[in-house]
Amino acid sequence: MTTPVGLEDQVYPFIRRFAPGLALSPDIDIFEIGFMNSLLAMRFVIFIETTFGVSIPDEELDIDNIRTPAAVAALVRRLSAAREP
Amino acid sequence: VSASPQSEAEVAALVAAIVDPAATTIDRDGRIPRELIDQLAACGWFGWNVSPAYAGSGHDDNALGRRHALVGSACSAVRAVLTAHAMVCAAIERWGRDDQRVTWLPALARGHALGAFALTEPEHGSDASAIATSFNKDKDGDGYRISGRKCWITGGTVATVFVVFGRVGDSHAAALVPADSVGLSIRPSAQLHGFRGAMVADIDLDDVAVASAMMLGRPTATLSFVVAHALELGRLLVAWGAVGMIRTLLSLTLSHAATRRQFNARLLDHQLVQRRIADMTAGLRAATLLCESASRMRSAADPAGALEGVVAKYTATRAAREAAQSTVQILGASGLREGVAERFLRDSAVLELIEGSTEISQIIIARSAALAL
Repeated sequence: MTTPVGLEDQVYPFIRRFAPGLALSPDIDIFEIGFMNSLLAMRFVIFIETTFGVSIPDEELDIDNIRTPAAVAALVRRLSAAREP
Repeated sequence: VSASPQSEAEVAALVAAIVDPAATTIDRDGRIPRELIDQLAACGWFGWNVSPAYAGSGHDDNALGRRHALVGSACSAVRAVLTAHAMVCAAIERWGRDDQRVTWLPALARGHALGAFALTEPEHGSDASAIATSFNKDKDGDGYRISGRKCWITGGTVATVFVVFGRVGDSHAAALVPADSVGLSIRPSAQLHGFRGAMVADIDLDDVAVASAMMLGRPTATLSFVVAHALELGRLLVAWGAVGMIRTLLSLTLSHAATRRQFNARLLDHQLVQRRIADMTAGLRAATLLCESASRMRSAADPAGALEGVVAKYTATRAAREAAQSTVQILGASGLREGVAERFLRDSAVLELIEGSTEISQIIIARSAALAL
């Protein structure tokens, strides 16, 4: 079951857990905010997989694919489309 | 491997029967006897965190951690080798390809293959993203050639396969490298103050050929996800190991303090002794609850679990160090005779350095506190 991508209710809460006061937008660079480190980048990948019920294959495991909330949404849409023709 | 995974009580019984009695010798000899490794392997200990689909017992983080606490309560060396192996298993199961899982996981789960985690280098410890080991495209084949030096690799002298980390240009990469690869040489590291039985090795890689099928995950711009994921598990299991050590130290201290009399009173009735016992008891409780919390969060893929793991490791290892100091202080000279108290005093010093030192943990905790403002 693939969950529809929701920035407001799914991706933003992840960011707010670490940077509660930050004004968020679809194009904010998560890696420039200051909370992201290699540990959290890995956690973010697992969070995306768990939250949206997708599996991110090796060739999509690129920081640019998770750099902004909009990029995350696009990645999830892409993976969901590939899975459910 | 046993038909069904051992229960926690069975693990505890085996720790008492064969790990605890061997611990002093393991420390003195600087090695875990092969027969002991084989016995533990036959009981499924090397497959605790591997899925049943690959011949493991598939324990979640809490069940895995509680087992590492049991082992750690008797012998840090055995616990450390199991932890490094668990990190390798986790790395392959989470980031490896299907063929890598099928090839390696059943052998690792059964303990027929032993894994070690080759990240640290002579010039790069805490600053792991600066590692210099190079992966160069093989001119003749489709793989890479690895050159570099690794040091302080737990379980390195007995490992059959290493997860080796390095860089491909500006990116970070990881590969599975069998210990018998041409160009790979292993030698025991200089003897350490603690963890003497953990068979720690230094490894030289001199133009070691690695097929592309052995690459683990894809090269990434940040420190490899493989590193972050495995270190997160390692940190949690180190914390659980510290919990086990504190349990042993507290019980040793209590039995001594309840029977030893000085100044016409049991040590237990002296208030300065009571203060140490209170701190050990509270430290054990805090460390246990943090480990449980971090384990649950990690199993639930909670993003805040990464920080909880750092807090758990920081708290548990400091508490273990303090507990070992208290035990020796209360036992007096007898605590410094060869045995568990002095061994844990040395081992707990190592706990504060590995898998994110106390100072690195402080930086991570303080930075995240500042961001939450």
